[in-house]
Amino acid sequence: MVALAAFSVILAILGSSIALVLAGRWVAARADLPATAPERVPFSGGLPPEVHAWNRFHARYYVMALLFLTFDMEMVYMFPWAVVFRSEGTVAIGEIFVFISILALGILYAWRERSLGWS
Amino acid sequence: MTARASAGWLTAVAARAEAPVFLARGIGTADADARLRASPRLRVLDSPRAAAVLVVAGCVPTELAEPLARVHDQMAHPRATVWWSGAGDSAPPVGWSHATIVGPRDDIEAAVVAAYRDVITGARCSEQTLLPDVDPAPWRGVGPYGHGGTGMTGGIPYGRPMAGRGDDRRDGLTLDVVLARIGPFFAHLPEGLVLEVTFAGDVVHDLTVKTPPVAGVDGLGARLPDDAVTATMAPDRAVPVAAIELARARQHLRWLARLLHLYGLDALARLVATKALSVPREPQELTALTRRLERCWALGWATRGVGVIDGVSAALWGGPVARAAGIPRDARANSPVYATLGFQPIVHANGDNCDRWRQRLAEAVQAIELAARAGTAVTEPGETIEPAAPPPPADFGDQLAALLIGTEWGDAVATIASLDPDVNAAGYLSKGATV
Repeated sequence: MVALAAFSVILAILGSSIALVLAGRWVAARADLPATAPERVPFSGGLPPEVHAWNRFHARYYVMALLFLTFDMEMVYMFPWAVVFRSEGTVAIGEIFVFISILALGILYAWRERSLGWS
Repeated sequence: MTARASAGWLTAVAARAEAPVFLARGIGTADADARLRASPRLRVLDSPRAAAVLVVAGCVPTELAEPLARVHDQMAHPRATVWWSGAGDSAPPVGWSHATIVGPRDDIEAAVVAAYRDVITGARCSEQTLLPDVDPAPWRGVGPYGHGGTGMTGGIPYGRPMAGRGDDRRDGLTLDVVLARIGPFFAHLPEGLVLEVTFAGDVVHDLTVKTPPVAGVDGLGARLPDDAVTATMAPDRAVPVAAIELARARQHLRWLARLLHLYGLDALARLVATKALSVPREPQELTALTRRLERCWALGWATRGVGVIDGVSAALWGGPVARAAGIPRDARANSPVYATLGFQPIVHANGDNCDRWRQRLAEAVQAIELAARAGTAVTEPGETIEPAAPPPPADFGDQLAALLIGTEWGDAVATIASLDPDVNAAGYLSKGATV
């Protein structure tokens, strides 16, 4: 019964999302203001673009993304630790500190290599 | 509540909100920025996309008429235009008859708010496009994603070629570089300045000045003191020192308000713009402002180490840019009347964006002090007056390219804004406004 209730909440959220999207499309279709050629181009100070804006660029934040994934996984390991650390006591505390310290060394290494700079 | 009543209520609420404004600056608009930014009822935006009111301040040269029309057309509906004459010429060109015309001494704030309210409530029709709805070339898309040809970069949609590849300046990974022309109404660039920039991601890969700032436009720098001194900066008559220094403080504060807005510090920008409109007569009135700016870690973090100009380049730029780099060059140091006032040039050391805003803020405080001490003192006829913003160097384009290539676009715009060249100054006009 509880599972069914949770499922109904998910269904409600899904239905609301779809309804919002459809409502947006309906409003957009009713708006009788089609964009003209000058309105469609990006603003760059008043001059029309000479080159198409579709281009490939280097996603330099990928190192940050990898670091985020690392610490995201760290949290996964900490959940079971949180369950047992009271019964295990000081040993568990020491082990988690060692675990986090190893990860922190990775951050310090990335910092030293200037991987955290946006550029 | 019916749908019609709900719409009416929403419209009334929207009409009471801050009016989103895009400012297109023309000739004779020295204080346009400050007057709009100081108003709590207006919100000055950097793009016309989100604006509802286009304020055209001053006279717009003929060659900028089409870019201005394109800026107008790029505003979303509903939209209105307020033409704010700054040089006595209140007649907008043909095709702009729909615009509200406001004189240089009229209440621009009230006019913009009224135009916004009318166009939101439907009392005034949204303005139609000025340029024809014609693409520069057919789309001719044949690929599954409408890319205009075969392959990722094979087509020329709307006659615009796809981005080509170029060397990367950071880690050597060769990817696309995009050519873009920025200006002449791009916020935070001098009026009329058109840059041709090649971007590799967000980094300036190459930069060329295609059109210099429009000569005669005083948006970045009014003459000293405002209109009383000619562009020669060595008038053949005596000029009150207090008037010169108050005008200097006013110009520095206007510039600072624009820079703070560029960095997203709108509350501080509004405060500084208010001070610029009514320059305090006592330097202590800027003490609290100075403390707030010095303690603003976001401003320091964003400006420190950015746009460093030192050595020969700083000397070429002159004025506050040179003094921010530690070069104590100031015409006032050789003036007898300034000697009696105990004038000493203020200098900073690093020559970056941070030191440039600190330099101008310190000079604004110093100018108010000098004005307070000067009383009725006047300069000698023929004496060279130190401008608040000197003309750009002779090789303006080369200097900008050397400074900005390799930087991120945000830092590049902030650096150009921090230089604040006065295109009205004699040195610029005598060169025929070329770069």
